[in-house]
Formats: sequence, C-alpha cells, structure tokens
Amino acid sequence: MYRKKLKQAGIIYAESGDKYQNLPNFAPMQAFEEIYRAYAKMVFNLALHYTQNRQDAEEITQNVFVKVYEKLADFREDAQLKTWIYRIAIRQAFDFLRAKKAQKRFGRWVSLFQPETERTIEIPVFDHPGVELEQQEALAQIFACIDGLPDKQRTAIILLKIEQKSQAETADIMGITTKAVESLFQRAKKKLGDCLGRNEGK
Amino acid sequence: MYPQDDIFSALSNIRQVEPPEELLAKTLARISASAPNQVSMLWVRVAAACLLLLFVSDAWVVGKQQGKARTTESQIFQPNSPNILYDE
Repeated sequence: MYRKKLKQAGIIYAESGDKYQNLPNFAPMQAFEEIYRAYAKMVFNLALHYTQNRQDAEEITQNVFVKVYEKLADFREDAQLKTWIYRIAIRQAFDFLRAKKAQKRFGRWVSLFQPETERTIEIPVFDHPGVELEQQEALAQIFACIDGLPDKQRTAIILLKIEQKSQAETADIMGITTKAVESLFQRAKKKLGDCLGRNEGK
Repeated sequence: MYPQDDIFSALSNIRQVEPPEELLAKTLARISASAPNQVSMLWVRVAAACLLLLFVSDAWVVGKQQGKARTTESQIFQPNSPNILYDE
C-alpha cells in the first residue's frame, strides 16, 4: 500500500532513472525504508572499497542512512537521489576513516604509558567479502596503495575502476568537471604504479 | 608484476555483495535512539495560547484587585462618615 503511495509520490528507484520528486509527509519512515532497500547495497559496497573491512563498512552504511534520514527534508531536486546518497556515503567514509585514524593515534599515545605486557598491536585486517580468495593477497597490496592516495584521487579510482562509473557520472558525484576527473585519474594511476613498484622491490 | 591493466581488471572483478539483513533494523534502532523527542506544533500552539490566556487573565485579575485596593485605601484614610459627635 505504501509502495503504491511512494510510487505516486515519485519516490522510486534510481535504477529506473526516476527522480526523487517530493517527500511524502504521510509516512516518512516507510519512505526511508524504500530508499534504504534501493540503495543499501550500493552504499555498503562503496564503504567496503574504502575500508576493506566488513564491520567498518556496516558502521559507515548505518551512518550514511542515519544522515539520509535526518537530511531527507533538505534534499534538493536539482540532484538525483542516487548522486546525493553517493556524496553522503563518500563524505561519511572519509569522516569514519579520519576518526579511526585519530583514535588509533590516541591509542598508540596512551599505550606508551602502559606496561609493555598490556600493549596491543592492531594489525589492519583485509576483509573484503567481494574479493575472491585467490586474489586476496594481490588486492590487499593494491588497496594498501589506493588507501595511500589523496582523498580525491582515491575516490576517482574507486568510482571509475571498481564501481565502473563513467567519467561523466564520476564528475557528477564528485561535483567536478570530467576534465578534472581525467586529471585525477591520471595522477592516481601514476602514483599507484609507483607505489606497487616500490612494494614489489621490497 | 603489476601491469596497469592487470590492476584495473582485478579491481573491476570485485563482486558486489549484499549488506547483512539485520543492518536495516540496526539503522532504524539508531535513528529512533537519536531522534529528539518531537512535540507536535499543534501542542506548542495550544501551550502558547494557554500561557497567553493565563497572562491576560492574571493581568485582568491584578488590575481588578488594584482597583478594589484603591477603594479600600480611600475608605480607610478618608472615612465617609458623618462628623457627628454623640453625647454632645
């Protein structure tokens, strides 16, 4: 029943290319659940590419949809709902990674004051469920280099090469021109090659 | 060992995975936990109207009381009694 109402209200699926037209004020939670079902997979996978860790990706997905729920009323129709959610997801992924890094730095600092026996060493876990077992080692190295790229270059590589978006779509999501996307990609490609070459020599 | 094409083909071979089923429930729980207690605008207006009514009635009652008090004062200080001395 709500599904019908949501369709009438113009809320349905990015796959069909429809735009999110107006917010139904009769059932915001139902509208939210529809949006969740349509985009959770996209957000979860994108988060996995940034973190390569299932738990972290779940955390980011939750953060993204909490944000979507809070900001749904502010959503402007000049962007597609899918693009809007992509932008939120990218921002949330970087926020999460920055917070995690800061937490780690603080933990390391605190551990200096702890006796050596109580110190814990956290080893980053590569737990990307989308990667085949035989490719795990190679992809862990590639992702280690991607993670070292500047934020925009990293996003360009993820969107273009993993999410298989076109340059125009990537430019739209990142809010830049296609030329800028091309330039970011070329610089990222070079840095990636250098990084992998260095690692190979080790 | 890592020709560019191989890197990008390895990246494009990453499978899309489904998010865990319980993630929606977890997200909804987080939303309801973080949502502030929202009071309907209707109740806000009703409360504001009640307050206004209370102030107006209070002012009216105080005004009336002051009027009465003035009368009483005038009655006390200027007794309206005939100045007749008894047992004269």
